[in-house]
Formats: sequence, structure tokens, C-alpha cells
Amino acid sequence: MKDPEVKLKLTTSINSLVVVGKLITELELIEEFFLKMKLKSSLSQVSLPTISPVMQELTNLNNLNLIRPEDRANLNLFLHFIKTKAPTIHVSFASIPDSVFMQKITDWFRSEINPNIMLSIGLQPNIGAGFKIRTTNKIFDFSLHKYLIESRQILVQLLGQVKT
Amino acid sequence: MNIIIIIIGLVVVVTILGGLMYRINFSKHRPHNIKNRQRGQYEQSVNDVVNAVFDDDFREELKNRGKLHFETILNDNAMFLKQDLELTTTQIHDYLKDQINKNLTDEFKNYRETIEFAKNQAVETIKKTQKVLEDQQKVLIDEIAKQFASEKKILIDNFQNNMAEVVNNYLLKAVGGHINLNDQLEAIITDLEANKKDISEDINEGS
Repeated sequence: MKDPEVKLKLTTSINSLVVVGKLITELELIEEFFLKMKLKSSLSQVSLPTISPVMQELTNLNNLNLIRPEDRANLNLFLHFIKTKAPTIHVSFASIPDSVFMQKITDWFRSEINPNIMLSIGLQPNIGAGFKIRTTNKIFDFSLHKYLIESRQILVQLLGQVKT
Repeated sequence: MNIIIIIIGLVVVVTILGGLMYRINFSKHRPHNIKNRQRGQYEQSVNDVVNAVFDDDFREELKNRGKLHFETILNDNAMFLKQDLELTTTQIHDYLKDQINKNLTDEFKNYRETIEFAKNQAVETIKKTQKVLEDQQKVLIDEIAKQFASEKKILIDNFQNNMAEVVNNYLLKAVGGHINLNDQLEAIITDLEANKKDISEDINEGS
């Protein structure tokens, strides 16, 4: 995958395309705000957009100032690149992971696999424990369910010994 | 005995009367004919003699004697008849008793034979039924044993085929919800590190 012209760092909280989509929408509101500021003579006719903590964290990490049009343009370009070109990996767990867990997993994927990788978190209670990964072409199953199935012959032998 | 005496008496009277009649007839054919007057006297005399012999006392005596003799005969005959009757009754009684005993014995024998035959038939039927039941029981036991073995094999096969899945599901349901993801983090990272190359190649070069 070709790297974008503008290289920014993603925060760990931005780990899914949903969050990226929200940031794009938020950035569009900010851009719209500045556009209105140019067009409107009275400040009472425009409302100040709120900056989310995720956006604030992203701009702080990359030293961006959203007042400057270049930074907004770069951020917009980067976010659209992420939305359209960033690799996405689907990770399934037996239960809903908390934010700390997600942060560590995201950090590992971005440090070891790809710095712009996005995660799609799924819930599969039947796997019991562990996780499953579905990439573009492969499925990696590290679940307890798979381990138990692979060990079924051993279990059958053990139960047969108990039976006799 | 009395009858003989009476018969002798009658023979004597008849002989006397015959002699008188012969004398009367013989005197008619005698050459010196007796006169009618004398003959009438003779006849009268005969009648008188007869009436004198067979007078009322004599007749009464004969009548009484006959009556007594008849009663005696009747009593004797009645006694004989009674004895014969008693003997006959006894014989009839014995005969009937023997016949009844014989008939009863025959009937009882027939009954015993019939009962014995029925008993033998019943025993034979019971034996046959018992044998049939035993055969059916044996067949049933064999069939049940076969079905039991078959069911047992099916159950064992199903158990062996499915018990791992059952144990898996049990373990997953029992412990799946109680394993904290943060506790699994180290193992998850280890698995990811072990497969990092494959994941990276598929992510960065596969698309």
C-alpha cells in the first residue's frame, strides 16, 4: 500500500473506521465553521463547533492547529486516506474488551504490523477465550474453542481410559 | 296232608254213591222185577242216607276244615311268599348294589380315564406352550441383546463422536464468560508475536 503524502500519527483511541468517520464529520463541521466565519458578518449567526477529546488528542499528538487551514487540509487528507486506504483487521473476542485492553492491542498492531491499521472488533462468545483474527485473505484462530477441537482426540482417549 | 284226607273222604263218598246207583240199576234188570213201589222206597232211602251223611253239621265241618286248611295254606304260602319276597328283595338289593357298584366303578373308571386323559392333554399342552414360550423368550432375549448391543454401540459411538463437542461446549459455557481479557493479554500477544510474519505479509502485501 502506498504511503500518503502527509504522514501523521494516529492515537490509540482512533482504532476503527467508525472513529475515523466521526473525526471526518467533526473536521467538516470545523471547516464549515470557518467558512461561515468568512461569510457571516455577525458572530451570533454561527455556532462554535465542539472539539472532541479524540480530535484534541490527535491534533496534540501531531502538533496541528485546526485554526490553520493547512493543518485542517492535511488532517482531512490524512483521515480520508485512512478511511479509504488503511488496512483493516477484524478481531473477535469472547467478551467486549475494555479501553485499556484495546489500547494495548492497537499499540501492538501499529508497532508490529502497520502504523495506520484499523481494528474491527467483533464479539463471539462461543470461542470461550482467546481471539480470532480475520485479515484480507486469512483467518487466524487463537481461540480456546479451536484448541479444544484440536485436542478432541486426546480428550476421547482420556475419556476412554476413564471408561475402561 | 289235609288235602289228602279230604280227597280220600270224597273218594269214599263217591264210591258209596256209585254202589247205590249200581244196585238200583241192577235191580231193574233182575228177572224177578221189583215193583215200582219198592223202587220208590229205595230211592227215598238213598236220599235219606245221603241227606243223613251230608247233613248241615257235616257240611259245616267240611266248610270249617276247608277254611282252616285254606287259611293254613294261605299262611304257609304267605310265609313262603314272604320268605321268597325277602330273599328276592335281598337278591334284588344285592343285585342292584352290585350293579350300582359296577356302574359306579365303571363310571369312576371312565371318569378317571377321562380326567387322566384331560390331565395328560393339559400337561402336554402346557409343556408345548412352555416350550413355545421358552423359545420365544430365547428369541426375545437374543433380539433384545442384539438391540441392546446395537443401541449401546450407537450410544457409545455418539458419545465418542459428540462428547468432545459436549465437553467443549461445557467448558466454553462454564469458563468462557469468566476469563478476563486482560488476563489473556499476555497469551494473546504471544500468539500474535508467533504469527506476526504471516499477519504482516497478509496485511501489507496481500491486498
